[in-house]
Amino acid sequence: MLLEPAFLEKLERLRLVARRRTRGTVGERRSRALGRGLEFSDHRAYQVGDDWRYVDWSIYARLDRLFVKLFEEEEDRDVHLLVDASASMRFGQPPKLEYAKRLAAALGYVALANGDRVGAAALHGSAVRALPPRRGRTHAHPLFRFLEAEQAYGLTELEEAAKRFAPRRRGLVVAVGDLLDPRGFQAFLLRLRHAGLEVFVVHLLAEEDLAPPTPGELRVVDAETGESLEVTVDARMVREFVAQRDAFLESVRTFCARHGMAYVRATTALPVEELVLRYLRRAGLVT
Amino acid sequence: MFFLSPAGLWWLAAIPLVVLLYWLRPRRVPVVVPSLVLWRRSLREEARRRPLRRFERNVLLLVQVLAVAAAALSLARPQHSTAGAADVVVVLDVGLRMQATDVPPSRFEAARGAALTLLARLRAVRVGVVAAARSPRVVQPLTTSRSDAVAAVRGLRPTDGASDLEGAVAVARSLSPSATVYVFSDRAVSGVHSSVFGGALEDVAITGVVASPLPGERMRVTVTVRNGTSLARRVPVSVLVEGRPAAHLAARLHPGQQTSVAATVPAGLWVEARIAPQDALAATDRFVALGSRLPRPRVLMVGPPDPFLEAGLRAVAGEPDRQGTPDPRLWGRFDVVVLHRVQAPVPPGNFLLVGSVPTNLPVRAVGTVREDVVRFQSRTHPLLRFVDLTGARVVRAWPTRPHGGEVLAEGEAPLLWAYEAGGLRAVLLPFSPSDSDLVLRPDFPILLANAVDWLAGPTSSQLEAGSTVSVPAGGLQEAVLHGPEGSVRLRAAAGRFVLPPFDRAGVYLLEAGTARRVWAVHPQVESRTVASSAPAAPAQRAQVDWGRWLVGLFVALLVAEWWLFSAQARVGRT
Repeated sequence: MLLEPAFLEKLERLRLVARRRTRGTVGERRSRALGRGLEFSDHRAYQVGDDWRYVDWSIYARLDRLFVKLFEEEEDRDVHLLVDASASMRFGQPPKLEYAKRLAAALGYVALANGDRVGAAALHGSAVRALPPRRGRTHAHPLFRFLEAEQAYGLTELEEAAKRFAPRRRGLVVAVGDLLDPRGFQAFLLRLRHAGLEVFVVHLLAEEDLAPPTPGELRVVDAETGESLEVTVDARMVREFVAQRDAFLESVRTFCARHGMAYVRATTALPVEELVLRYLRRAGLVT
Repeated sequence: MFFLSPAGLWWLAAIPLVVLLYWLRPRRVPVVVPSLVLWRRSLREEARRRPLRRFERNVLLLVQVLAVAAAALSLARPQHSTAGAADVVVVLDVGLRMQATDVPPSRFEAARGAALTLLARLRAVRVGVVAAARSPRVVQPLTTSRSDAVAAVRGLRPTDGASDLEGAVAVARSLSPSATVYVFSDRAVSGVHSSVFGGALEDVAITGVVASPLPGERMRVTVTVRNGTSLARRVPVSVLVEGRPAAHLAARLHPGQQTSVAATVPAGLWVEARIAPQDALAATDRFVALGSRLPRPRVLMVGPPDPFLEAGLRAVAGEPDRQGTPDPRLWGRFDVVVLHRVQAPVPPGNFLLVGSVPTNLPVRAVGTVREDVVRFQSRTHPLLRFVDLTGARVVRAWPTRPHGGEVLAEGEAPLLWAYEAGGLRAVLLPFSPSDSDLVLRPDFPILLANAVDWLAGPTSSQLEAGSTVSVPAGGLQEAVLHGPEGSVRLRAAAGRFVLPPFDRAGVYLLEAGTARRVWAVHPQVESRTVASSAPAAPAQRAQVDWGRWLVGLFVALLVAEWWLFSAQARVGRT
């Protein structure tokens, strides 16, 4: 059971917010397509070919000029939940993958409850296990089952995974992972953005990812590749590690900001409920 | 480059042990991390900032290895000859304390072994050997023959006497002022290369034995024992008179205490005390002293009798022998020959000339003097010790004109004259005792006693081991010395018997004609504290001792190792 009933009840009252207007079929999401919607958006001067039904005659009466009313069209959209399921996601208390699965389930549930099409993908290195987007609350069960079945294994090869993740429709992509890719996270996020997706990055880290190393003679072993490094950890090394860690976190944040991607950093010590109900709401992903 | 103590190089074997311990140190702790991304970046940056960091872990091992090597080399005492050829003098301590067995087999044997090692490795052109005894002596002058020097060192034996190391070094320097001096002893001497064998010594020793005469052919013997150990001891003391057990005593001693015990024993020529404390120095467990029955000098009086002279001699040396008609052939058997109004040439020997002016001495009589008074006298000559002749009147004397010797008292003419040369000693009183008021003064018997002592020398003495003695030969050419190590036949040289040094404690008896002399020689018990390590010696010109520099390097490496270790530990705590 990924989500408790009480939490699901709270999620019922939330909705995902798009920061960009998206194009989709008629749904409960506003789009920039004008005319067929019900909610007034703006006026513009009449042009040849405009539907006469949208001419604002009251303005014409006052100004003697033709203006048409613009309406925001309500349309559904795709919400893609990308979960890094590489071996590094095994770390943390609870494990980062478990945390990511609960978070993805919560966001997926919110999206389904609001009529969005929700798909999910688990990234195991270059391999991607995907659940195609579907609409409707009935899709929540398959989504939960898909997420529950995921195990952490494989390398972190985000860019390769992004190549294989090819959504047919634009929409919102929520990427959850630690972004600890030796080849960098930038290409991965840029590929998502260039695919026309609105990218929301949940940078999920375990406390042990952030904690400075214990001083001593260490042989640090990469959980994914099995590679090891012999390191003498002293005060200088600790300071250097902390500096590199902070630089890495800051680089992710600034990269996302520079490229218009929403960014939230969380650790597994923070309860998923609190992350969703407080921090993601504050970040504007849910309202 | 050579090593004074090459056995110290065995410590180099500790280096593989250090390396082994380094490799056996706790292995690195494996830590599985989600990713090496941050670790690689940190290491890359760390390596960029501190390119030598990868070597830092090995620096500690390197410092430890260097420290062990420096310690081993310093123990081996490397020497370097800065000059191609240099004189080297080996000074070997042969003092009593070198007999101590706290350094197996003994301090002396260990020191001699090191000296032989040095000789075997020296590149010096000339080598000399000096024995640091109570009176330092050159046992091998500077020689290019290494075998002679080795034989000289091998021929040395420890004595029961003290050792004058500083004097020995001075003797060594006198051989060659530029020589490099190596001292092998149980203490260090500044200014030279010192090899020290042994430290402070715990010893129970007899420090003194005194025999005092008692009425009835008995004597009181007082034995002083010192406890130089850190434990309270009960020390049994045996007293022997002329080798026969006479008394058994016991001394109870606290640590560091010295006490005396006494016993009344039969009179004898010499007395000996013995203890058996089972300590490292056995030579101090025996002490020989003169007893109360001592030999007197044998005096022969030649010439007409003189009651004053005979009475004085009787008081000084017992009843003298008499010879009416001079017979010089027998004079050599006596310690002192008194010639009273005998005008005859004298052979080599010891003569008290009273109213006699021998023709073969550098003095001659020049007429007769009446009424003379002693106005001047020597204040330093042993003949006039405790004697004041000033004002003594002489009613008739033979004025003399000496051409040598020493005038000790005079008025208008010389009235007391002493001479010594060519095996002949003479004291001349150019007047008859009955012609002077000197015989009425208390100075007269003292003068006679001084004269007999000076002429014959003491017939018995208490000496410290290592003392050297020579005695007038008189008219004799040969004498036999009986000592604790056997008998030695001596020949007179320049009118004297030069005895070998009394290196061994015990009783020495010299038989020369009918005269006998005895010496009780006791060990030289010292109370000095022995340094346990050699102080830094100033560098000598010809030979450089690298040992002290290596010790300094060792200490510096230890400090560096400690600093590195503590720095790493400090880093580990932060």
